[in-house]
Amino acid sequence: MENSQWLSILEGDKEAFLAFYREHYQRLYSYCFSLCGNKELTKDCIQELFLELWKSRHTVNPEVRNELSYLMTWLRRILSRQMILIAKKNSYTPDSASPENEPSYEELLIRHQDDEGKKRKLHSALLQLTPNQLNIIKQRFFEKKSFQEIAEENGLARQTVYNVVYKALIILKQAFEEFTLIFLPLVLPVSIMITPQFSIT
Amino acid sequence: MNSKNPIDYEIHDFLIDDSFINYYFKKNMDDYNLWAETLSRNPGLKPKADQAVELLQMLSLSIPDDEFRKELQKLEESISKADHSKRIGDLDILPRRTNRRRKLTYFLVAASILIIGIGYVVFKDWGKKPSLLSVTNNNEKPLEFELTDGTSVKLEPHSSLQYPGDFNEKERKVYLEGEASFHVKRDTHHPFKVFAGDLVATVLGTIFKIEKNPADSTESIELLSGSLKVDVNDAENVQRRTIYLKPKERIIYKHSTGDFFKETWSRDTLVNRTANDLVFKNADFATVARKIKEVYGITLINQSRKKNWNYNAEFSNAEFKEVLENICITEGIRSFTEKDSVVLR
Repeated sequence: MENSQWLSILEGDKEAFLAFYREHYQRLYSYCFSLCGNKELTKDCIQELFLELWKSRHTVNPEVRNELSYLMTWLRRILSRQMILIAKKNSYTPDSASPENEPSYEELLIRHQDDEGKKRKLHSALLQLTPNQLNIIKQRFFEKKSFQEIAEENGLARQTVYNVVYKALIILKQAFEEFTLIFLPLVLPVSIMITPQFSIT
Repeated sequence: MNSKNPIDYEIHDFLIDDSFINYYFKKNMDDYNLWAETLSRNPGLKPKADQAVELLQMLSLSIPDDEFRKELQKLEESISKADHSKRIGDLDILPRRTNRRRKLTYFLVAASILIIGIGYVVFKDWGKKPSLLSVTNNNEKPLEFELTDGTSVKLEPHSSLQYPGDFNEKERKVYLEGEASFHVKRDTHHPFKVFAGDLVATVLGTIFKIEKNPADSTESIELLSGSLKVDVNDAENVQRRTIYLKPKERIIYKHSTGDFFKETWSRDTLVNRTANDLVFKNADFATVARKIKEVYGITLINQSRKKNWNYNAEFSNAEFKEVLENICITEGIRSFTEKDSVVLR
């Protein structure tokens, strides 16, 4: 199927290009971050990716089947290149810098925090989680799988998955509330006059 | 699974609620609306919801909006710099282009001459606004007709369309108020543009449908086949964003907040609704009456003093009696049956 957005980008339509960037940024970000665990490096690589795409749009294949995975592969190449450069600069062996050594999810969570205090709080909260809890949290929020999918993949009842996530969230929330406590304003009594319609499944 | 009322939600309750997660990732319009409404009705809930979002960003390893905007700005700066330096070194790039690309360059030169030529003609006639014809459908049935360029239009009840008598401009521009579907005659030299409120749909391919809820709130453009470019403008009519649609996708735009979404959608959704799965969202009387007519074939006549409706409800497998009862209770009115229509007082 013809993809007009992709073709427009390759023809130099800046609006189409920026629309594509907005739409896929977070996805590319969390992908690249999960490979390297470095926020600034991730941001730089994505900048580089889109700059390269824009500059080489005349030679990029207009018949890509899946633009996002095409860009992910491209991004991974940029990341490897950057990591080798960094490794050379710091005289590490390039081996330990290759993206094949992907950091674990809990390591990523901690590295993603900028603030040292938050890092420590989060670290102690993560220690309280069982490997199983962590794994399911990762599947739900990072891999964005539904409760149903997680239940099927792990051979668990849906309610069990739900309970595991719920308990883990309470632990994470407590750590989290400690570092955002300052922002908690007084909660005003909420008018119950309006009964909103909810369907919670 | 969670029987709590959202106004009692703690941070972790938000994150266990699929509809909240869909709201944050803008995965589903209904969930987005539900939460946007809940949060605006219950301002006390906002601090906790904000914290829930922060926790969600943390767990999904995504960056907050303000950090994203900085990145976007950086990119815009570096690509305009790249464009500038490329213009200077253009000669180096030319020999590497394929034959096809070179042809394209010539075509672009030819096209820009053409545009200058047309620009001159338009300039000569400046001030003479092309007069538009107007069709308004006041019937209860959709009105089908053909424009002079061969495009066929299906105009839904209580909608109107303004269009030029003959399309002799560079772009075929029509202006829609309400709801219509278009089967556009392909003519790549004269793009077909539909202006509907803040949305401008430019046809690259063929069939699409525009729906607008005049009571405020949402407009949607749904693409049935071909491809379509949609520009969303703000109040000052400055172009703000561009979205491309592929078949079976639609864009929904919410005036009040300026939010919009692209989602996968098919006609089946509509078929299911008419099979007694009925959803009203901030519906005014006209909308309610139209849907009732579609589903039950019964005409509603509003003789009550209540004119500004804002009706919200969901029904599945409901009989007409049940729906009517709910409408009467919610809107505080009574109903009388007359032949095959129902009068509200």
